Order: sequence, then structure tokens, then C-alpha cells
Amino acid sequence: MKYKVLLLLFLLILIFPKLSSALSVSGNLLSPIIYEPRKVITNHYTIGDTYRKVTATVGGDLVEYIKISEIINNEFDLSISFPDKYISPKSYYFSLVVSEELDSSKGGFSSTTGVNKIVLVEVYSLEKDILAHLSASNADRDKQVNLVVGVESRTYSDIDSVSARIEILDAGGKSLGSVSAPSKPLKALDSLSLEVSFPTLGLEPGDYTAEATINFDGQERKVSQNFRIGKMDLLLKEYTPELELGFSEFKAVVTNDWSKPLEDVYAKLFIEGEELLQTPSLKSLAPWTEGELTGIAKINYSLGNHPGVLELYFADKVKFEPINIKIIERISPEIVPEKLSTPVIQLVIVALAAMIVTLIIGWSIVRKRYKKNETEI
Amino acid sequence: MKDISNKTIVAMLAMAVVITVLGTFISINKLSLTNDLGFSFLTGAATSSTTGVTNLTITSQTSITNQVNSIEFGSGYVNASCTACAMDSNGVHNQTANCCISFYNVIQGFLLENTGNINISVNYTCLGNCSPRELLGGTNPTFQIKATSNFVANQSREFSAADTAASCMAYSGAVLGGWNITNATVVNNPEANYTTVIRTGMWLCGNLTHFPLDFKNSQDAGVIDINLSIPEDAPAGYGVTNVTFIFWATSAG
Repeated sequence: MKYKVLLLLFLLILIFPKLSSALSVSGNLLSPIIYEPRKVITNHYTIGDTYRKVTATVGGDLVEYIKISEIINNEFDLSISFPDKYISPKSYYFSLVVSEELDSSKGGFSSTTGVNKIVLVEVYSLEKDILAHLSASNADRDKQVNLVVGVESRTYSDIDSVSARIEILDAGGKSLGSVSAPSKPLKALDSLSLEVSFPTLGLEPGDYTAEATINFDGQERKVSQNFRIGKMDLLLKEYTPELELGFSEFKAVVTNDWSKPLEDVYAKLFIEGEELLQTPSLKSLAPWTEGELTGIAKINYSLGNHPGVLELYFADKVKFEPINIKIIERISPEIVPEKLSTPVIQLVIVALAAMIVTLIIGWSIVRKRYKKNETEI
Repeated sequence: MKDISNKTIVAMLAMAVVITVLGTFISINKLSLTNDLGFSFLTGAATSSTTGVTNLTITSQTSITNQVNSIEFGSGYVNASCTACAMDSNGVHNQTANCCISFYNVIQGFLLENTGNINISVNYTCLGNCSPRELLGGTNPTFQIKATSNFVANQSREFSAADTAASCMAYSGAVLGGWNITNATVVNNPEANYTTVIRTGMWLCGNLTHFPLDFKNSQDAGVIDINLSIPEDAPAGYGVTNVTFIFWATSAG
């Protein structure tokens, strides 16, 4: 009888679900909502991962315009119906709160989980306002820089005229010229873009700034953006300054300073005139992007600083960059045992449990037969 | 009471094996590990093909999982030679020189994990006997909470893969310094330092506008430990009868 009770307990342990708690709420992202009178929004949500009963509520601003449907099969709708009027302009927040019902039967320190989705509702004013941004493309020497002013309406009123004047400044802030974009009307809550180009004729490669002044119905906003005038060149951004004795990894980060891809990019590292490594080549480095050149070198120099040269190869050209490398002693890496992931551990435990159960069944059958044989004898 | 026959037990055992194996397959399938483990299931087969336009909307899933949803210190008493018994859910039992008698040595705190597809912030609220005096009684009792990145706490049984980097650091443009209990007295590095539990709760990671707990499996979990100090004059019969922490996941909606 005793072993039967133990077996029943074992069964319960196997079958009983793990009492971890979890809660998930899925739905389309609503935030941010731009307020408009009479606007109606319905969003569907699905609740998952929980075995408990859940409740859903709404709190915060504007709750008088928000309703939640009954939760059926762990699904519900959130409906927003804004009124037929303008309300005080500012940023409003409401929260959709979904929580598990409490299990009061548990002792000790128990816990449940809840989910809180915060939604921002932006209410603009009737006064004319915009949000502007400027993009300026990098360009090669003697080519055009494309300048785009993006303008978004932040008002419920139409704007009659939006125009922009863009000034180009060098790294020292000196004005090098300006271009103007023709004016356009902008509807309420709409957006537009103003596009112009600036010729870089005679300008040296380097960093520049475009500064746009946007005029709209007598008001003004300023935005700026940096851009680069480049040429066919590969720039060394950073490199490994310290190498350990023995085998050590060297890494150099390079940037393509050209508007076209650079083919076959690689580097050779020299210390005190001796070639230590040649990195594998990058087949193609995209315009204005960074790339990593890495290789492993055998370091057999005295400790301390050593002058070196990094030869950068790109598109049948070579460039010499003087560098300084510090040789340091080898640092032994700490060996951290690899962790087994939870699903693998669970799988092993379940497999062991299944094996034990099978053994018990086998043992019961053998014992029964043995008893039967004994009885027959 | 009638004895349960051997046949019944064998039948139930067989059922348990089937349930266990089926459950494992379902769990593994749900965890999308089928390819890693070499299993695969045919979920659909095309009978004809044509071209068409596909609209794809990825829904935002705000999700929190707690793999340890209760902590039990059991019952016991303060050693007569001590002024208090201090216990911690991180396995540090009898902190004050064998002062805690008969209590369990709890070795796991609440293990919270972002299991959704959007970054979240985390806070708690407390229901029941949430103040030290309500919970323990006596002179100068303490009831505290701390939050630690699970990469540091190294607690097992994360729902997804174990963390390989510190969590609660994912807010672009600002680092909130990891798990940051709002009312922590250690301002510069509140992570892993204890703060008194309060009923209205506190933020543990991020806040109402910053959601720094990443959804990436490598840095999505934290451990919430509790610490008790039971004074020698705590009245018998007091203790944990009803304390419930609600852990909230907050995200952009």
C-alpha cells in the first residue's frame, strides 16, 4: 500500500502544471494618436500565457471617450470615440491595464502579473505650428548636395504658404552660399517636403553644415544638419592600440569617404618595418559606411610602445597610416562553464522522469509475475 | 477505502508518460526550438500557387513571465541568543550567526522576464501585510526588496535562453543604470541594494516614459529578492499570512 501512495504522489508531480505566472497582451500599436474631432478608433487585443482569470480597465486621461468590450475567450476590443469638438491642446496619456485576478489561497509571499499599455494622445492647437526636419546628403567633390526640408503640420488650421532658405556653412561656421526652396501650401495635419540642391563646386572634402530657415504664414523655424563632401578615399577611424605577446587579434575600423562602393579593401600591419599580418579583404565597402578589418598576428616584441604603419588597400590604391602599438603581457582568459539553456534542462528532466516511470512499470510487472510463480510453486 | 488495483496504477502511469511526452513536444514546438533539436512538423502544404499582395502588421506584445511566483520561508523562531533573524530569498539564510531556527533556506527570488516583442519597464505593487510592522511585529522589523539583473544573479529557469548580458539597459539615448528601485537610498547604483517594501510600490526598472528592459533573450530578465529581519520580540503567530506582489510590465501601447 505504501508504495502505491508514493506512486500516486509521483503521478501528481508529473501531471501537475508548473506554477509560474505569466501574462501577455497583444494588439496593434496605437501610440501616438493624433487627436481629431469625431475620430473613431477600434483596436483588438488578445490575452495570453495566463491560466488565471483576468480583468481589463482603462485609466488616465480622456477615459470618458474610451470603452472596453467584455473579455470573451481572452480577447477584447478597445474603442475610442473622440467628441465633435476641439479640446485643450497638450499631450494626454491613458493606460490600458490588464491584470490577473488574485489567488488568495496561497500562503507565503505570492505574486501575480499585470500589463500596462501607455497610449499617448497628441492634441494640437488651432494656432499654426509645424515640426520641421532637414536632411542633407553626403556628396563627392564638385557634385550636388541634395537638401530636403520635411515639414509636418502640428495644427488643425491650414497653412497658406511654407518656404525655406538653406545656408551652407563650413566647419568654422563661415557662410559659403545659400539656396531657396519655392513656397507650398500645407493642409491641416498634413506633411510636405521642399527639395533643392547645392553645387559643391570648388569646395574641399570635409565636414559642412546646412542650416534651413523655414517660414510659414509669418512665423519662422530653424533646423540644421551636417553633411560631408568626400572623395575616393579610405579613412582610418580606429585600431587596436594594444597587442598581447604571442598570438593576438588586431582590428582596424575604416570608413569609405566616397559616394560609390570601394572594392577589395584590406590592410597590412607593419611594426618596426616587419610585416605582421594581412587582413582578409572586404569585397565591397558601401558608400559612407564603416568596415572592420581583422587579423591575427604573432607578436614577439619587447613590452612597450612600438612605431608601426598600417597600409590600407582599396580599389588598386594604397594609403599609409602611421600608428603606434603597445605590446603587453598575455592575460589569461577566465574560463566560464557554458550554461545549459532551460528548455534543454527541462527536456533532460522529462526524459529521466519517463525512464523512471518505465522502470517502475517494468519492476511492477516482473514482481507480479514473480509472485504468481511463487504461488504456483 | 477500497484499494487501488495494480492495473489502475499501471494505466495511470502510462497516461502520465503519454502526457509528459506530449507536453514536452508541445512546449518545444511552442518555444520554436524544433529545428535546433531536429524535430519538425508539417503545418501546411500548398496545392497550387499564384501571386498576390501581402499585408503584414506586426502586433506589439507586452508580456511578463515570473518563473518563481511564490517564496516560502516556512515557520520557525529567533534563536534565544540573538536579537533578530535576518533571511534573504537569495540563499543567504542565518545571516546573523545561526539566529534563524527551523526556517527554510530560500534560494530563489521572483524571476521576472520580458517575454514579449517590445521593451518594457517594470514596477511592483503590494497587497496584504506590506509594512514590516504588519508583517512581523516586534521592535524594528524590516521587510525589504531588491532587484538584480539575472546575468548577475544567475538564477536558473529563465523562460527563454539564459541572459548573457546585464538587463534593463536598453533605453536608447539614456542609460537608467540598470534595475533602479525608485526609492533606493543608494542613488548611483541602486541595483542589488535593498529598499523597504511599500504598499503603493515602486519602479524596479525604467519608469512610465522609459522602457529599458529589452525583449532580446540575451538581456531580458531580473531577479527580485526579499529580505526579512524578524526581531526577537516578534509575537508568535505573526507572520506571512497574506502578502502578494503584483509585478507590472509597462510599455508603449
